[in-house]
Amino acid sequence: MSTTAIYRYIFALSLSLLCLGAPPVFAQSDTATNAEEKTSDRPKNIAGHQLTIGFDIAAPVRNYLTNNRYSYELEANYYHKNEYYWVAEGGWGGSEVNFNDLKYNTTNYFGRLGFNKSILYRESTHDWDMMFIGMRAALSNVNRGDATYTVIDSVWGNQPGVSAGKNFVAGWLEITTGMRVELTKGLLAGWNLRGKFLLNGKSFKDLAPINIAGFGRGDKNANFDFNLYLSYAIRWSRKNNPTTPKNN
Amino acid sequence: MIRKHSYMQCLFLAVLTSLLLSSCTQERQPCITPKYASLLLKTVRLNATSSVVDTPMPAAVFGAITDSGTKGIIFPRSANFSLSLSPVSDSCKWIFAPDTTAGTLTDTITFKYNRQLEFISNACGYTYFYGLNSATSTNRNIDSIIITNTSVTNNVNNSHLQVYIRPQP
Repeated sequence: MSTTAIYRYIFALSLSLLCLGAPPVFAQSDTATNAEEKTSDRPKNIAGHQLTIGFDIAAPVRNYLTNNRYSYELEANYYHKNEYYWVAEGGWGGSEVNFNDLKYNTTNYFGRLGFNKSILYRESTHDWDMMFIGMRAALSNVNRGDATYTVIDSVWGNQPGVSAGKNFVAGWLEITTGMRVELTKGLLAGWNLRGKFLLNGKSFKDLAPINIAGFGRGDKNANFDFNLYLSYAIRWSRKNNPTTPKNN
Repeated sequence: MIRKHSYMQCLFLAVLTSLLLSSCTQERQPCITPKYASLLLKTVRLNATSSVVDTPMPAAVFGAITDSGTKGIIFPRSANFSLSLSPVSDSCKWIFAPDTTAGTLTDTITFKYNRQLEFISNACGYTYFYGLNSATSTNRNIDSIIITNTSVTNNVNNSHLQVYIRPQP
């Protein structure tokens, strides 16, 4: 993974945050003094518990528009405290290489664990809208079937062959940013923008998957990705917080 | 205060971006690295001071002796030539003549080698690299052959053979 690639993704994520975060910040500037006072008085952990389960609704669209790969993704996150959310994500997918001189299929499952940190102040116990940054650690089990190939040689003749299938483990780290907004009671939508950095790229030196679900192109050490989630939230109050009003 | 309609605008833009990104179907990338391993040879002579000097051939003819007949290549005046080794067996033969003039004597060069299958990339597919074991020839035009590099890969900067041309009578 090159340093330039890391800087590029960090820059893109920072820019994304600036672009999306700037209008609300400017809107608050006329009440800055009041906001600071309120911030200092703002009680922590005013919100109750929340568990959300979501589905990446952009994935089926991508699957429909591309004919050589597919993927599906689910996410679950749990509000811990101090605007930190524990996140577990998972999914599956596959890809097909079908060129004249090279044909093989790959399938994989993946899982990610990490956290999101909301960077917006909570207006009330009912306010679950958020913009966040986060990190993930991910693992995937990749299965590649037998690959058939032909070494094309116009002088000596073509030489066909088969490369036996193989299992790989892929590990990567992600930095992410995104937002969630509550469309209606308990139903949230939002997106994630992700920079992904493969930790064991050398494993894919031979016949890299054209696409690893959850990561992207297997022949690149860094990928940039986007998810659009539709989620459902289950909420309950904190027993030990008398200031917490009844939630949804 | 942060307005929800701002969120919704962002969401709409995000959906649009997603669809635009998704509409870029993944085609095969162009193969930008040399795909084939080339055997690079140089024709040379010893001069009066026993130094090795490049000796350009006026119009050298090389012909690959394949199962389906001889496939010839005529090179313009040069001392550097690029040939291929057969990926279907561990030896191959080329005929060589220094020019195209009728009646020019030809030599047969025999190469023996090990093949090694190499995956270059999804864009380029597979190819063979070779480990050169020997290069022998008849001696009508060729005096001897020296292997200077046994590793025949897609690196086009390495020369593998020096072909010593017999002095003209």
